[in-house]
Formats: sequence, structure tokens, C-alpha cells
Amino acid sequence: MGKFERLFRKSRAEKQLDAELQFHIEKKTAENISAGMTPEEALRRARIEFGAIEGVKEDCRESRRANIAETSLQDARYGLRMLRKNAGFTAVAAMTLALGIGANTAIFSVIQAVLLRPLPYDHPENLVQVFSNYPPVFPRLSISPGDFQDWQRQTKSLSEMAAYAEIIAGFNLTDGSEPDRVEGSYATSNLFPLLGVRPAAGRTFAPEEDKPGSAPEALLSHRFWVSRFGADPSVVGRTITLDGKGYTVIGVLPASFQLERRPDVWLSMGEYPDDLSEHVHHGFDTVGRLKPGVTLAQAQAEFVNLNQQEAKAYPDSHKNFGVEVRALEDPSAGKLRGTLLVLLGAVGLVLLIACANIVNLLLARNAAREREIALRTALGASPRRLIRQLVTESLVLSFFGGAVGLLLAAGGIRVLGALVPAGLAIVRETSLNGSVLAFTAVVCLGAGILCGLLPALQASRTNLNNVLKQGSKSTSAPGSHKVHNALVISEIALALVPLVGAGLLLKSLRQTLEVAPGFRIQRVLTMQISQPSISREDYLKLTTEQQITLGNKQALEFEQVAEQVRALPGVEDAGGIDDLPLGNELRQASRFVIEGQPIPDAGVRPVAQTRTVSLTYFSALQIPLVQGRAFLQNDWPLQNIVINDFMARRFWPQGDALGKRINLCSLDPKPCWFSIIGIVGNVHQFGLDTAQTYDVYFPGGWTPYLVIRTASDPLEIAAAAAGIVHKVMPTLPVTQVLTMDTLVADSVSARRFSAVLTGVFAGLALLLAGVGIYGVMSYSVGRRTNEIGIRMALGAQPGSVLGMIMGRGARLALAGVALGLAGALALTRYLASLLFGVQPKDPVTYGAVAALVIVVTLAACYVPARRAMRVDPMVALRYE
Amino acid sequence: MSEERQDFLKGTLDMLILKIVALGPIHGYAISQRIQQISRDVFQVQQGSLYPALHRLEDRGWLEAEWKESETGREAKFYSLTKKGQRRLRAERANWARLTGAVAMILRTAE
Repeated sequence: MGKFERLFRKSRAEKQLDAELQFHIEKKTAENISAGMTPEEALRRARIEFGAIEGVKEDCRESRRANIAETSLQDARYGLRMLRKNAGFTAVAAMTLALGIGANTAIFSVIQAVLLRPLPYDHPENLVQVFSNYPPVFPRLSISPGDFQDWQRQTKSLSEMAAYAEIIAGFNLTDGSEPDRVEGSYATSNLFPLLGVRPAAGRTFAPEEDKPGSAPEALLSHRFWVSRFGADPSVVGRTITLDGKGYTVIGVLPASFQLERRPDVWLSMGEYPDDLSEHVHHGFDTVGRLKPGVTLAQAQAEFVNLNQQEAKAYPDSHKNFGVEVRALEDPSAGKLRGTLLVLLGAVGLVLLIACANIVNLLLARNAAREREIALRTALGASPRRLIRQLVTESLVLSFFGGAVGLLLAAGGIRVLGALVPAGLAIVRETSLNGSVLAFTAVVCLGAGILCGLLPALQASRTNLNNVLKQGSKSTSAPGSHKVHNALVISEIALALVPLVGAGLLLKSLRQTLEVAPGFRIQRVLTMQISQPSISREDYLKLTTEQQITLGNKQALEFEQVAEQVRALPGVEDAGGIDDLPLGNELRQASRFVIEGQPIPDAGVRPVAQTRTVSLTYFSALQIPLVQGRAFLQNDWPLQNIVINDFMARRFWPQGDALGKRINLCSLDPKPCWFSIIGIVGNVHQFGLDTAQTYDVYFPGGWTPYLVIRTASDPLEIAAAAAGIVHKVMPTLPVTQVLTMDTLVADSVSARRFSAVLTGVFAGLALLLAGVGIYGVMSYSVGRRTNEIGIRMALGAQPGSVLGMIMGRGARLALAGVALGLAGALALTRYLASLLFGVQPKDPVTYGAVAALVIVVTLAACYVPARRAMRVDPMVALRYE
Repeated sequence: MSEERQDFLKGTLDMLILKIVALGPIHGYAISQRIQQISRDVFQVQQGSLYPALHRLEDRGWLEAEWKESETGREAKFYSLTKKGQRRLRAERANWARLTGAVAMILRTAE
């Protein structure tokens, strides 16, 4: 009979075993009868001689190898029965595990989606990206179009190299009933075949479309195709109008193409409006494929070499710039890796605490089952067999908890999706797929074994004689005190680590929010109203006169809009800028040199952020004027600028910046000198937690962001303001209508996301630890009822009993806190990159968390200690 | 200490069972009778050891079992030796000889 057959036809094997042993007894009985005994006596003697038949049967079953699977099933069934019988215990234990396993499953599913899932391209393992860098200010930069063109030709380690424009261009789409703003990027024709991207409809770009002068063509992103064209395949071949120019739609990208998520349309490189051979502006992102057998390190070495050649040819633009070849990864992965690993650590600790709680529960329950276990031992169960059975029970428990945990995780993923900041939308691609389920199964298995093994070992060491001799009272297994102390100490230490992490992250968030942004935030409405852009080429074709005329015309148009908006009831002021503060993109910046000051090497010249503003921008956002004056209409055609206070103090420490000139075209052959006419307060251009920048403001032109300061709720005037724009400039789309409050909240959303989630998990850790400590203390007080009764009978005061229990709690709390602080000190340095305005070893956070943990521990000890204090010696002793 | 003795006896019991079964198909009760007879009542085989041993040997593939009518007409489980079991018996006998030889030698030299 095959082993599996035996497993599933267990009852037949059992019957045969019964029959075999029965046959033996019958034969013996018969023999006894023939020796002259009465039938009753003969049977009795035969049975005595045979011994405990159940024990023999168990040994026979044990002798079979297939037994392992067979008894495991049996154990699992038995475990289920035990769990059903103790519904309360089961509910508490399973819920504890469900919280731990659910949290781990939810976070792992995000990690799987963001960090582990292979990119949806052909052979993603040998795809790389080439970055430039300018340490330590810019650890990673795009590369210049000129470098890309050279390297694409020169590389020997990459079989192919493609590029796309890193900076997203905005276009006004004017085909529908209402103008719309779309975002676009430019890609080389080989980008899509290199990645193995097959279009959802139509085709991708042809190689000749990389050169200027080819017919204007566009690819649609899948998202845009669905939202704007209702996924209509006949859109291929149609013409769309972007900034007044017609583009033929040649294809639609598949939904899986997420190299860059933002663009609605992709245009061919031939449409790129700027110079493709310059080496100054770092605006191209690259994708390359390693040749077979070439390692990343070899490619890196080659590109370092290629970069040195460029530095020789173009020293001004390459000095201090390095190059790095990295494996291609999702752009969100880099942003989220730190946060996700911190969260994984936190939920891992939560699970360990949950396991510690289960260990305690099982210890208590096994102690209550001492007699059952002793009986099984007496009936012939071996220690190994017992351990297996107890561990199987805890496995049943952990898989049950895991099932509930999966439900929690499914809900948690939905909550995560709602919480996650827009920039990290990849988190919404999370799902409970096969690998996540496998992870959960492994976690359940690990947790089940971890939780079950220690209590099982303890139970298997139970001294048979003691237990059976004793009445209903169970004894304390030797060493169980130590186990309980260890449990309490480790729970405290395990909860303290994520609490410190959460404390540091929350403090960073608070520090960030306390940073003065430098401009008015309350009751400010912003909206985007973009003019069609003029390509650099076309702009350069204009004469200086024409450029000035165009700038004046656009500036006048904007001031007209601003004036009418200002006239709306409830509006205090309105102005415009070309890029709102707290943005996160490096859009416009120039290296500059100062007239009359020593001129540094090109690569180390200071960088100024350049912004263009309307006449009333500073007053609308209440950015204070420090010195000089704000712009007037007659500044429009002049080379006049306003700078920020930070820049003025750094370069003109004597306070004599007004009237000085700087050259903002220091890398170009022709200088462009600007005179400083005013100094304004500092504004955080790139978020509250970033370093202050040197800012230069130009006047005039069309400023696409309208900012409106209002007397009451700014959203109330949104419709009226948009109506004015439509009236004055009917062809321009109004988009991104948001309050400044929202923009500030968005700018810290990633920080808030990690701080709040870590806080939630740390809170969960503390809750579980508190419940666990309460459980251990209650249990150990319960077991010491006799001892306490004796102490009290001998004259101990209730106060000293309370003191004894609380003293033990305090000692354990201190030990746990010491251990936890050591752990936190070792681990929080991994947090450093996520912190702002607080050190990883911030003593205030550590102290506050330690105090909190001690208070929670003492509170968890207090209830059982009170109970111990009220022990009635007579009642306690009566049980003896 | 007690476990060591059990192991030693268990090994011996396996060998005795293999030897007896080698003589022809036989059921458990008869095996216990035969061991007692052959050893002139020196060995009293506990059924608590015999049946688990039979099941273990069967599981290892040294014995095979068949349900057949016994001398009294009742169905009984008859064990017989497999090829593997025969090899095992030879190995056990050789081991035993070596062991007893060694023990005898120790006893002689210790005198």
C-alpha cells in the first residue's frame, strides 16, 4: 500500500491494526483456555499480558514514516477542536496575530509593487540609466543632449542608448469645446523598441523622426487616450492641436509603460524645441541596454572615461560633473525605498510583539492543560510527539490569524491608497497577488513555529509525577519566571524602537511645518493659465524689438486679467508668477557672476533660481520688500531684477546690493547683465524642508500662475476668477485651481505619509506590548496567589504586596527601556535621510518615548498589582 | 541509561524477528510464541515492543505482510521476509557476531 493511499484511507489501516492486535489476544485467550482457565479468566490474563493496547497502537502508528503527514493532519484537526473549545482565547490570539500579519502583508505588498516587481519591459535585468552628478549638491542629474548624442555614438558597453526629455513640457490642447492643458515629453525613436514596448494601437516613432523637420507626430499615453478619447482606436491618424500646431496621432502607448508617468503625449525628438547639441543643460534622461556579458561596473568605468573626454572638450560645462550608470528602476522606487524599509522594520517589530503575546498566551494555556499533557505523556506520547502537536496547534492559530490578517491588509491597502501623496501614486498599484500571498504564508509559518516552539518545549518538560500527584492546582514550571521576565523585557524593547522612529519622524514633520514659508499661505487661491509656448528657435528668430513688443503685449494681457480679478468682491490682491513656490522641480536656474567681484570657475559659479513675476506678485503674497523697490511697468523692457535677501546678504554683506549688476548668461558666449533694483524676503521655492536658494525675479511677460489673496474662503471666488480669464483670454485653459493651503499640505505629504504610518504602527506596537505586559503580569500574579496569601497571612501589608509587583514591573521596564534605547540608537541612523531639523539621537524624543513606555508598562502592571493587593489570605490558602 | 538498554534490545529484537520470519510466512502471535520457544523462555517478548517493531520493519521494506486465513480459520496478518529483509538479516548477523566476539574478547582479556 502506497504511503499516500495509507494517509487517505486511514480508517482501513486502523481497522487492520485493530484486527491484528485483536487476533493476538484471541489466540492467547484460546491458549489460556486450553491450559485450563475459565474463558473470563483467560481473556483477562491475555489482556494483562498484552499491556496497554492503545499505547501499542500509538507505537505502531509512530513506527510508520508516513505518520508525520498523518499525525500532522490529526494534530491540525485536534488543534482546530481545541481552538473552537476556547473561543475567547482563540479570538484574542488570532486577532493579535492578524494585526501583526496584516500590517506586514500590507507593507510587503507595497514593497512588492514598488521595489520588487520586475519592470514591465523586455529583459529588465540588463537595462541601465546613465546619470550625471554634481556632488554633493546634486547626487543625480539628467545628462545634457550633447553628451547624450556623443555617448550614444561612442559607447561600447551598451548595445543601445535611448533618451527622453526629463522636463515635462506643457501644451494648450485646443481641439475640444474647452481648451485643456496637457503635459508632454520628447523621446528618441529607439526608446520604445529598446524597452520592448509594443503600442496599444498604431505605431511608435520611426528613426527619421529623430531629426528636425519631419512631420509633427504624437503618441498618446494610455491614461490620456482613455480619459480624453474614451479609448477610441480610431484616434490613430487624427490630428490634435497643441499650442496651435497640428500633430498626427500615430499610436497609443500600453498601460504598462510607466517610465515617466506624467506625460499625456509623447512627441518625437525631431520636435524638440531647443538645441540638441548643447552640453550645458542637463535635461535628458537615458535608458540603455548592457551588451551581453558586460557588467554594470564595466559600463560605469567606460562612462567615467567618456565623461572625461567631454570634460576635456567642454571644460566650462563639465568641471566637477561626474557620471553614474545605474540599473533602471521605477522613478518612484528611489523616492519610496527609505520610507518603505522603515515601515517594514516597524511592522516587523509589531509582529514580534504579537508573537511574544502569543507565546505568553500559549504558556498560560499549556499550563492550564498540564494535566491533559501529563495524561498524554502517561499514555505513551513521546516528548517529540507532544512538541509537534503543540506547534501544530499554534500553526493552526497563526494561519487562522493570517487569514484574518489578509482581510485587514486588503482594507489597509485601500487606506494606504487614499493616504498616499499624488507624487507616489505607484503605491496605488499595490495588490494582494501571488507573491504577497506566498510572503504571508511564510510569515504565518514562521510566526506559528516561533510562537509554538517555546511553550511546547516548556510543556514537554513538565514533570509527570508532580502534575499527577497534585490536585487541580497546577504548578509553576521551573524557569517560567525567567521566561515571563524575558517576555516583558523584549516587548518593551521591541515597542520602544518604532516609537522612537515615529517620534523622530513626527518631530521632523512638525519642524517642517514650523518653517516660515516666506509668503502668505492662508486664504490664497492659485490657478494655472498657460499661454502657448514659443519655441526657442522661433523666439530667437524675432528681433530684439519684436521680443520686447511680444513681452510687453503678454505682460499687459496678464495685468488686465489681474486687475479685473482684483476688482472682484472679496479679493484683496492678485498677481502672477511663472512657477509657484514649494514646487519640487528644478525648472529655471542660471549660474551667475557678479560685476566687480572675482569670477570663479564655471563649474563652481553660484546658481540662482530665476522666476518671472507680474507687478503685484510680491504684494499679493505679502512677500516683504527689504530694500529698494518692487517692479513697475517701465521695468518691463529693462534688464532690471529683484533678488532675495539671502542672496543679497551672501554676496553683498555690506548691504550695498542695490544698483549692482550680475551676468546671468555667464556660460554663454554673450553676457547678459542685470541691475538689482530691489531686495525681497526669502521664499522657499522647493519645499519647506529644503535649503534656501538664491532667487532672481524678472518682471513682465505672461506669468502662467495667477495667485489671488482673498478676504474669506478663497475657493468661493474660483468660478468668478476663471470666468474673468475666459472672458479676457478665451483660448486659454484654466487648470490646477488650488488653495495655497493645499499646496503646502501637498509639499509635505510624503513626509506626513511616512510619519503618520510609522506613528500608527508604533502605536499598534505599544498597544500590543501594553496588552502583552498586562497579560504576563496578570498571569504571574494569578499563579502566585498562594504565595501572596502566605505572605499576607504572615503579616505583609497590602501596600508592600503592591510595591513588590510594581517594583518588579519597574525593574523590567528599566531593563526593557535600556535594551530598546540601545536598539533604537543602533537603528535610527538608517532614518537620518528622512529627518529634518532633528538629530537621529535627539535626546528629547528618546526621553519622551522612554517615559511613555515606562508609564504604559507601570499602568499595565498596576491592575494585576491591585488585584494581588486584595488577595484574601484565607481564600488563597484554602486552595492548598 | 534506560534508553540505551532499550535501543540495544530493540536491535536484538529486530534481528530475532527477521530470523523467525525468514523461516516462512508467520503472524505476530506465532512470532512471539516462537521467540519464547527458541530461546527456551529466556526472552519474554512484550507485545508492546513486538507489534511496533513489526510495523517498523514492514515500513522499512524488510518485511511484507499479507492477510491470510490462519490455522483456526480466522484472517490474520502474515509477515514474510523481502529481498531487502534477507540482506538486512545477513548484515545483522554479521554485526551480532562481531559484537559478541568483541565482548567475549574483552571478557577474556579482562580476566
